[in-house]
Amino acid sequence: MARPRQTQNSVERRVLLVRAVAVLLALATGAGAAAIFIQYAAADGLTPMAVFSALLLCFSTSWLAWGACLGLIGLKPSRFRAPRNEGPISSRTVVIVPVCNEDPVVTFARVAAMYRSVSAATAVPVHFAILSDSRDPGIAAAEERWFARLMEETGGAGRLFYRRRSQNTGRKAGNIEDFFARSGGAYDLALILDADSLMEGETIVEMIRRMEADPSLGLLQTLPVVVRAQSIFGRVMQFAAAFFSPVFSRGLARLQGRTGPFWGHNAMVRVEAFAAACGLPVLSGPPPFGGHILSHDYVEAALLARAGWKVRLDIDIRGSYEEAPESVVEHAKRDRRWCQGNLQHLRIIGAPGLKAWSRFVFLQGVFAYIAPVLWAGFLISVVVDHVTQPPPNYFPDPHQFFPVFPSDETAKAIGLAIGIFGLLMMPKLLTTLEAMIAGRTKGFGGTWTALKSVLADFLLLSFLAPILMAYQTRSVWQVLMGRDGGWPANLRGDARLSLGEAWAASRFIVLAGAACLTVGYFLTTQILVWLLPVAVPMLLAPVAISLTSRAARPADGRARLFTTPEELVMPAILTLHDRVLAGWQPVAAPPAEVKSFPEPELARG
Amino acid sequence: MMRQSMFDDQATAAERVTQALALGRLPEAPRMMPTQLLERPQGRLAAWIAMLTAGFGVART
Repeated sequence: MARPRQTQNSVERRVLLVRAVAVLLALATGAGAAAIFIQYAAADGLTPMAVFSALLLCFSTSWLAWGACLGLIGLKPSRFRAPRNEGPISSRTVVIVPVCNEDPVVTFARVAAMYRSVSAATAVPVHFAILSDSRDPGIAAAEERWFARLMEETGGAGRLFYRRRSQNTGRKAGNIEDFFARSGGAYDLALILDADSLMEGETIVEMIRRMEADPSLGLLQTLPVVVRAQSIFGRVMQFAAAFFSPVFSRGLARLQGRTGPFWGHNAMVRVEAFAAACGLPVLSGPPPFGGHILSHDYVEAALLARAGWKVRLDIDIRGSYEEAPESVVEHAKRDRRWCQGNLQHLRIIGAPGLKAWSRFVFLQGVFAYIAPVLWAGFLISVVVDHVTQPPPNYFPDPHQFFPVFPSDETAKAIGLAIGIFGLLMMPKLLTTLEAMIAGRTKGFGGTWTALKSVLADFLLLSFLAPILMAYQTRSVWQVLMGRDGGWPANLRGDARLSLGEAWAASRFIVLAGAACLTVGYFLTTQILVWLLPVAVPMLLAPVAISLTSRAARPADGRARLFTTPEELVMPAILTLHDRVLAGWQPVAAPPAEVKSFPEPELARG
Repeated sequence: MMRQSMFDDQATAAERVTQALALGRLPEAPRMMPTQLLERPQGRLAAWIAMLTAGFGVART
C-alpha cells in the first residue's frame, strides 16, 4: 500500500512544482514587460499615467504569458494511462440531456443515435433522460410528439425518459438538480450532455469503465471536439479548437492534479458525489452578482474537489462532440453569459474550504474577461499620457550651452511589442511544429493545407480581435453596471447575418472605432498609425461580422482551408445522427423558425 | 415507416403520445441534493480589511 501512496505524493509534488513554475513565469514576464515600458516611458519623464499604464501592461502580459505557459506545458505528449475496469460493468448509468427551447427534431435525433450507438457497444442498459426546460408552448408540444416518435423508433420504453418542468428555477443547474433530487437515487453514474452534444456509444462505455476503476473519481471531463460548423467564423473556430486545444488542454491537464475542470457537459459524474457535494446556493442580492449561479460548472468542480473527490480531464478520450456558435454575434451572446457567470465567481472565490487551485481557477475565469478590458485601458491610458505630456525640455539648466536630448528608447518599445507578439504566437507556432512532427497535420488536409489554415486563422482572428475585445469590454461594463444578461437561447445551425443585422449588433463598435480615430487625429497624429490595427477592424465590424457568418465553401472532396479530421472522416455517431434525421425530417425546417416543426410520422392516426 | 412499434395499432396518434409520455416517466428515487452554504460569512472580509488597515496605520506611526 505504501508504494501507491508514495507515487501519489510524488505526482502531487510534481503538479505543485509545475503550477509554481507556470505562475511565477507568467508573473515574471508581466513584470519584465512593465519594467521595459517604464524605462521607455521614463525617457520623456515618468508620469503617474505612465505608471498606471505599466501596471495595466503587467497584468495583461501576465495573462498572455499564462496562456503561453499552458501551451508550452502541453507540448510534450502524455504518457498517462487512465485505469479502467476490464471486468463486467455493474454501474447504473443515465445520460442526461437538458434542453431549453431547442429544435426537438435535431435534438431527439441525437438521443436516438446515441441510444443506438451505446446499445451496440454494451448489453448493459444505459438510460437517457431528456430534461426539458422549454417555455415556448409550441416547442413543448412538439417535444412531446417527437418523444413519442423517438420511443416508437427505438423501442426504448423503460430506458428513455422525458420530463418538462413547469418552472425552470435555477436554469440548467436547477434542471439537473431537480433530476438528481427526484431520480438520482436510481443511478450510480450520470453523463451530463448539452442539447448539441453527441457521443459515441464506445466512448460512453469507456467513461463508465474509467469511473468504475477509480472510486475516488467524482467527475470525468472529456475534451469535446467541435463539429458541424458551416459558416466561415464557425469553421475558423472549429479548426482552432481541433488544432490547438489538444495541446493547451494537455497543459491544463498537467496543472490540474486532483482538481480538474468541469465544462458543464460531455462529462460523467458520480451521482453520490455530485448529489452530496454540489448543492448550489442562491446568492444573496439581485443579479448579476446575486441570484442563481450562472457558471455553475466551475463551482461544481470546486465543490467536488472540496469534498475530497477527484475531478479529472482525460484528453485521450475520443468520440466526444459538440457544436459551437456560427457567428461573431452568437459567440458574443454566449460570451456575455459566461462573462456574467465568471464575474459572479468573485462572490464565491472566498468560500470556506475550497482548494487553492479552485480559487485560482475562479480568478483565471475572472481574468479571462478582465484582460481585454485591461488591454483597452492600456491603449487609452497610453494615448492620454502621450497627449497630456508636456513638450521635452532641452535646456533644463538655464545656463547650459548645449541642448539635452531625451535618450532614444524606441528600440525598447519595439522590442516590447515584438515580445508581446511572440507570446501570442510562440505557443501556436510550436503547436504547429508539434503537429507536423507528430503527423497530426494529416488530419487537417496535409501539412501544406494545415499551414495555410494556421496562417489564415491567425490573420482572421487578429482582425476580429478588436471586435471581440469591444464585445467583452461591453459585457464587463454591463455586468459592473448591474445589468442581468439572462440566459438567451442558443441559435444553432444557420446563423447568416445580413449587413443590416450585423450593423444593429455592432454599431457601438463602429462608433467607438470612429471616436478613437477622431481623438487620435486631433490630439496626436504621431500615434494615429499605431491605432489603425485596432480602429480599422472596429470600423469594419458590420462587414466582418456579416461576411464571416456566411456559409463556407462546401466540401467537394478536396482539402479546403480549415479542414478538420472530423470533416475528412465523419465520425460514426454523426453519420448515425444524419441517418436518423434524414428519416425524420425529409424536408429540413430552418432552425431559426423553431416554431414550425414538421409533424412526426406516427403510423395511423 | 413503422419499426418495432410498441403501441396498440388502433390507438390514435394523440393517444400514442400520451402512452409514450407515460412510459417515459422517470423513476422516482430518494432526494439526493442537500443545499450547501458556499459564501463566507459577510463580516469576515470586512474584519480582515479593518485589521490590515489598523496594522498599516500602526506601522506608519
